[in-house]
Amino acid sequence: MQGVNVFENGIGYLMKCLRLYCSGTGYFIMYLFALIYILVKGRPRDRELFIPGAVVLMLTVFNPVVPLVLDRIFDVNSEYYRLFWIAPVIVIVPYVATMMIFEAQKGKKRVQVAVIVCLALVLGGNFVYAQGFNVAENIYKVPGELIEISELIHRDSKTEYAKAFFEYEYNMEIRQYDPKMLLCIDREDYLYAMNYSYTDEMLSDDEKPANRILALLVRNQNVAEDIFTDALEQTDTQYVVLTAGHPQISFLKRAGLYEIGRIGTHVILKYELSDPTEFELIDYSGAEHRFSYRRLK
Amino acid sequence: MTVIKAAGVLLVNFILYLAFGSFFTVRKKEEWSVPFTVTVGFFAYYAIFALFCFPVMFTYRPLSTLAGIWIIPCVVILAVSAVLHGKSWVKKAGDIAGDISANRTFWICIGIITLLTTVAVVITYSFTLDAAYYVANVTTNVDTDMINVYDPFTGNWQDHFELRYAFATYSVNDSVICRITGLPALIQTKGVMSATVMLIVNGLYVFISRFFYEDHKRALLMFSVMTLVNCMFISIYTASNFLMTRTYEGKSIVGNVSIIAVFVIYMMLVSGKETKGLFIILFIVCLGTATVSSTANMVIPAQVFTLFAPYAVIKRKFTIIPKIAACVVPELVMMLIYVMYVKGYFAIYTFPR
Repeated sequence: MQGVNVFENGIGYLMKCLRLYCSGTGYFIMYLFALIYILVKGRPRDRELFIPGAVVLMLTVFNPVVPLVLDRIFDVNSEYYRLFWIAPVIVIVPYVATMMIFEAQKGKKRVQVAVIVCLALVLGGNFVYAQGFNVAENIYKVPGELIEISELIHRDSKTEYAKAFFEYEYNMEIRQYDPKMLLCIDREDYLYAMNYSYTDEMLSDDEKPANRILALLVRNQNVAEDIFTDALEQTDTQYVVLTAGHPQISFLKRAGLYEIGRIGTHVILKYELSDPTEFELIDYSGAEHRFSYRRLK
Repeated sequence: MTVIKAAGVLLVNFILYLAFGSFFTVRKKEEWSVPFTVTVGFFAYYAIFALFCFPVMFTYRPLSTLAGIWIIPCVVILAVSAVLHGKSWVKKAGDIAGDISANRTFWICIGIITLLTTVAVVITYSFTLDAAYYVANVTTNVDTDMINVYDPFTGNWQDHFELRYAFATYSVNDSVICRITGLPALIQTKGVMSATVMLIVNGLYVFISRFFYEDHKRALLMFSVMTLVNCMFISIYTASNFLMTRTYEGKSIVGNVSIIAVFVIYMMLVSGKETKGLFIILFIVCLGTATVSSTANMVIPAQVFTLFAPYAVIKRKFTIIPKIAACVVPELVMMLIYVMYVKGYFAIYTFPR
């Protein structure tokens, strides 16, 4: 889970995970309540269905010691929360809610119980569209601007594949739409630069030219113009797509890039590579089709 | 045209799942459930697909070869299933039509809720980092006509297969469908497969609601509350959030289809209904899930043992233990392979050496 790891939190890891997992919703508490309700008022079949599994879950997945033990074998930090999915919240909470409503005496009493149950379910949750119901701009479900940028770059480029730098969201989305747009920065490197997992020294590493691009365009660090253009040359990056308000646009223009267009809120800049290498797919036509692996240890 | 094609692929998906699943659930003169059959068929489809995919992928043959090969088992299985189960399907269609006309309000409400949630998922825009891998992998495979050989993040050639994803062939199937139909990857993944998953999940919810409540009014209320819980139990980590915003990801299928399917199988075991072949069905669900997402390798064995082991002990049916152990073998093998890969014991190359 983001920012929570077993090593730092020890026995408290599970509670932190659960708190993040629920994020203010009351559904885990409703799950526990539903279990008690089944235990007290449920039919034998219901108890058989829900209780033994819940007991085992409490002793294993929801036992604060278990992540400590598991972490010695696997790195469970980022994925332990997925074990919480095993708790059948989606079945038992609605089942008990229905039972409570229909067990109440018909008439006013039943209406009261129904209102209370609905309030608990609604007020105890975070609505999936609380931030707004964002209808996609097109059937591809990517911003329309991104499609236009892709078309502009391909019109301008003389090669089948073009290589570019995009800012965060577009960097993650462009290749979902356009596989002929190559990227100089991959997802992990972008994220590590953005959240400062990469130190300033790491970004100054001479052996990784892409880091210079990250240093300037993601971290706004000082990079000399020739070092930056060298990084573009070494990574074969011809296009840089930035939001119009990006602080490095004037730097890029000084370094020799020029604007080939503006689409919506984005500026598309081009750098003339001195020795562009055309990207070609690997030729497998003459390859032997046999399984090939290597034991490394 | 693209939308019509997408609707056609959606329909074909369900026909294939019904055909694949019928081999495991349809028995003469016995009751069987369409949503459960479709769910089992979904996992059988992906399990069999993986068997065809691995040899093609690991010997660097093109995606178009796999697409050509994969049509054959689909047509054969569909034809054989239609011959063997056609009468049962027709009879079931009649039963369903009868049930719908007898319980119009129930089915209309179920239909409206299912349609609304499915359409909401299909038409909304949500930004997720993982799509940068899953969807871009489909576009990259289709563009390069290779399977998992190029890095979806950048487009660069990879020296060896990234085994975290290579064994989860769910997105390769999307690539195959795009190759065959010409559908854009974004429409296949975020449109067709999102709708497919939503319809399967809602089908399972109808099955569960009616398992608990024979009375249609109560079953409808339970179904509605299940939908409400999915809309409200939201944090970036919950299975409901994955279902409503990242439906096309393998993780979403593990959290919302596989886990529910395993629970349904457990329900059947506890209620004493349809126990014949139940562990084969459990095995198929586990095997199929292992090929959908690597998340399954940890979650599914844990769930299977959490549910079935206490049952075996309480009921003193110890013969169940080896059966459930056998069911989770695919996940355990995948986990072992992945751990060995991560620890640097071996690598599988993307070019012969």
